Parts: sequence; C-alpha cells; structure tokens
Amino acid sequence: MTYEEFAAERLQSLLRFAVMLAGDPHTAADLVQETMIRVHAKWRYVAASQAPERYVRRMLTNAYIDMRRGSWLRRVVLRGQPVEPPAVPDHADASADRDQMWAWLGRLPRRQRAALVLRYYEGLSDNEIADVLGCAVGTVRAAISRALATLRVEVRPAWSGGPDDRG
Amino acid sequence: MTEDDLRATFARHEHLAPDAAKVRQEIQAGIAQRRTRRRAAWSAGAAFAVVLATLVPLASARMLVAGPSPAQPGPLNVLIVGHDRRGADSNAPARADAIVLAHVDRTRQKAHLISFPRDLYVAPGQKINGEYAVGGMARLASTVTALTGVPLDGTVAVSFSGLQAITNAVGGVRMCVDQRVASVHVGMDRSGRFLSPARGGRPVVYEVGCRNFAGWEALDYLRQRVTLTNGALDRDKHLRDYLIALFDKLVSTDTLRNPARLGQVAAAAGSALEINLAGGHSLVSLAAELRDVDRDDIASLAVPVEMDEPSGFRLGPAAVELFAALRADRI
Repeated sequence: MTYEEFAAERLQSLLRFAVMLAGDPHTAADLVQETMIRVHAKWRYVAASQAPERYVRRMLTNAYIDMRRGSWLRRVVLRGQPVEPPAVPDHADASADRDQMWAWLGRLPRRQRAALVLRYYEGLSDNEIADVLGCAVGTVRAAISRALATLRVEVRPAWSGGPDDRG
Repeated sequence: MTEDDLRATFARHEHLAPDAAKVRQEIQAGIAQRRTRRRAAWSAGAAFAVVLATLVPLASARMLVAGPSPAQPGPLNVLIVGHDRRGADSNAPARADAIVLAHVDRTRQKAHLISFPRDLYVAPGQKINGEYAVGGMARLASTVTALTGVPLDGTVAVSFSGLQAITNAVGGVRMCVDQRVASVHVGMDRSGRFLSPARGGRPVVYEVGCRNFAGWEALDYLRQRVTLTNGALDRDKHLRDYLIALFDKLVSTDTLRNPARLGQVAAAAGSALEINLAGGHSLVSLAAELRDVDRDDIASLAVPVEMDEPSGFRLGPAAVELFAALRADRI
C-alpha cells in the first residue's frame, strides 16, 4: 500500500477517532495533520509494520496523550506562558451542558479517555488497547475502571441530585 | 449502563469529525513545507560526535536504577560527554568541556538534547567540568543525577580523536554555521601547509551557511569557543548541532538500522569512544528503538542559568521546572 492509498482510504476514520479523543474538531484536525505528516516521513517503516493502521492509531493516540505536555518547552521557555492550571470540574457547568457525558470525558486524564475510546468506540480488546497505549493490560483495566467510576459519580440524571448535591 | 451511555455518546458526536478532503489538503501543505524546511535546515556543525547515534540507541538501559519492566518502557536518559584527553595512553586528567543530557521520551517519538554549561557551579568554587577530571564519568554521572533527579540509562564519552574518527566513518556531517568562526587552532601558511594561527598562519574560516564537515573540520569547529559571541554557551549549541547532524547522517545512510555498519562507525573511534549501558542492551538493540525519531523530533536546548560569582553560572529558576518535567517525562 502506498501512503496516498492509505490516506485516501483511512483519513476519515482517523478523523473520527481523533474527535473522540480530542473532543473538538479543531484539535482533532491538528492531531491528524501532525500525525499524518509524520506518517508520510516514516512511511517505509509504517508500511513495513504488520498492521499499518494500528501503527498510525498508536502514533495518533500518543500524540493526543502528549499533546500539551509535549509543548512544555514552547509554552514555558519560548513563549513565557504560565503553566496551565488543571481544569477544575464544576457541577454547575456540567449540568448546563447539554451533554454531560461528553463534557466529563473532556475532564478525564487523557490516558483514561484514550482507553475508553479504544474500548467503547473502536471496540478493541484490553490486550489490543495495551498495545496501542504501550502499557500493561492491568494498567488498561485500572484506567478504564477509574474512568467509569468517575463518570458514574459525576454524570447524573438531570433531576436526581445525589445526597451531597447542594448546588 | 454507563458503558452503553458511552457508546451512544461517542456515536452521537461522530458528526464533529472534520472533513477528510480539507484536512488532506492541509496535510499535503504540511508535507511540502517540511520538505522545504528540511532542505533549508540541513544543519550545521561539528565536534563531539558519535554520540547521538550511539546515544539515542543507548537510550534504553537503566544504569543507576533498577530496570523498567519491558511492558512499560520508561524514558531514556543518556549522558554524553566530550572531553579533551589526547591519546589513549595519556593518564592526564581530562576535563569534560561538553556535557549533554540526551532524553528520549517514553513513546520513543521525541528526543531532547540538553547542555550543561561547563562553568556551572555544582558546589562553592567547584565547576561541573572539573567533576570528570576528579572522578571520571562515575562522578560526573552522579553529580548530574543529583542535580536533576534524573536516573541515567547510560553514558557516552568521546575524545577529540574519537569525534574526528566517527565523523570520518560516516562520511562527514552536514551542519549549518550560525556565526562566522575563524579558527584559533587550525591555519595554513602560504603554501597550504599547516601553520597555527598563533604563529601567524591564516586561520581556517567557517562562514555562515550550511556545508559538509569532514572529521578534522568538525572537530576544529566544535572546539572553538573564545571568539564566539556567547563563548562556551555557543560552543555547546554547536555540539548539539553536531549531534543532530550526526544522527541525521546515521538515519539517512540507514546506518542506524544496520548493525554491521553501526558497529563499524563505533569501532572507528576505538578506545576514544566509551559507551556504558545498563540493562544488557547493545548499541544495536537501542538503535532499533529510535526508528521513529528523526532530526525534526530532536529539540536542542541548554539548562537555564544565571551568572554567578566569581566566574561561572548557577541554575536559573526555570531549571527547576525543566528538571521536574524531565523526571516526569513531560518535557
């Protein structure tokens, strides 16, 4: 397969995958663009791998996980920007959002979100997810169960507040 | 329940995916731009060598710390040192005038080269370049680890002659000269024979621009310090330029993936190149880990420093952040 054939066939599917990871179209397009430029440069290696598409998804997933922290140098040293404070989850925002689940996905640690996307969107097995993320299967399961636990606690039906919900 | 919600949530947001045709155009533009940039940026330099090639590969052996589990490789940190010992038989203490930490991230997609200025005080009256002279690589490595908190996976030391031999073995390296440099070490008389500039020879000049450097030129260029705008700091940058250029040469000639050729390059330096890896890794197995890294993936920087009395530097505030990012592999 040539790079052109790969791009023609798989780009849309990669973009959908990237949107599930990144949550918004602009970041998804940036991620895919950046990844595909690298894929083009390394096409020899990519094509020689057993599963080129898996290889590219791994690059894309890693690019997503490393997104901001990879640019530490640019932000802090070159642009002098302060380190971003972590996003603080806010119940008021979440309930104002039409789609709480989607909003909360955006607040999960990236690795956890990636694991959820790989399992529930891509339908991969835990072994395959471990391969994509470059970690142990146990780590994948732990990440997914932590993510599900967070979502169960935080995403509530609009009319039934929990006992501690005073807001 | 949550799981079904998740599947439904993902499906509901598929429409957010951007249009492939548009993104494809942007990718093509990016590829074209990168080509131009690579052509223009074929970088410049010359002096401390082999290293990147070796070093990146090296990158996988924990040296001072227990090895990582194979399922979850950590980042690789290799200390590369250029020293001034002349001749293998000399027992004179050599100073480590070029100290570079090579960091390859956990995903093996990016690398950073980070220089420690030789005039950095590590204790009152004690500069980092003296550590090597006093206690060899072991002492320098533990000083760097103490300073940064970063465990090292290996060390590489190369001398003047090793740098030159390695550069010759790869057929020269292409670096981009960033400021005009007239050599204080190498010059010629009227008939083209070697005559030191100190004795009236016409110095060899490295003009601004990109060019190929043979072994002796690379060595000479990388040794220059006193005439540079920022002295040793500029020289450190030239060394990083060199390491990147060397790495690029190893990639473009396919040497990195060819164990026989890689071995020849390392052997060319003989005892002038000392590689110490942990974890039972070889140069070759480590080189394989760098398959995803190319020159654009390597960032070049210096540890942030401030002037310090009497005649050196101390770490600047940003250095603390830099080291923390290194330790967390979040640089």
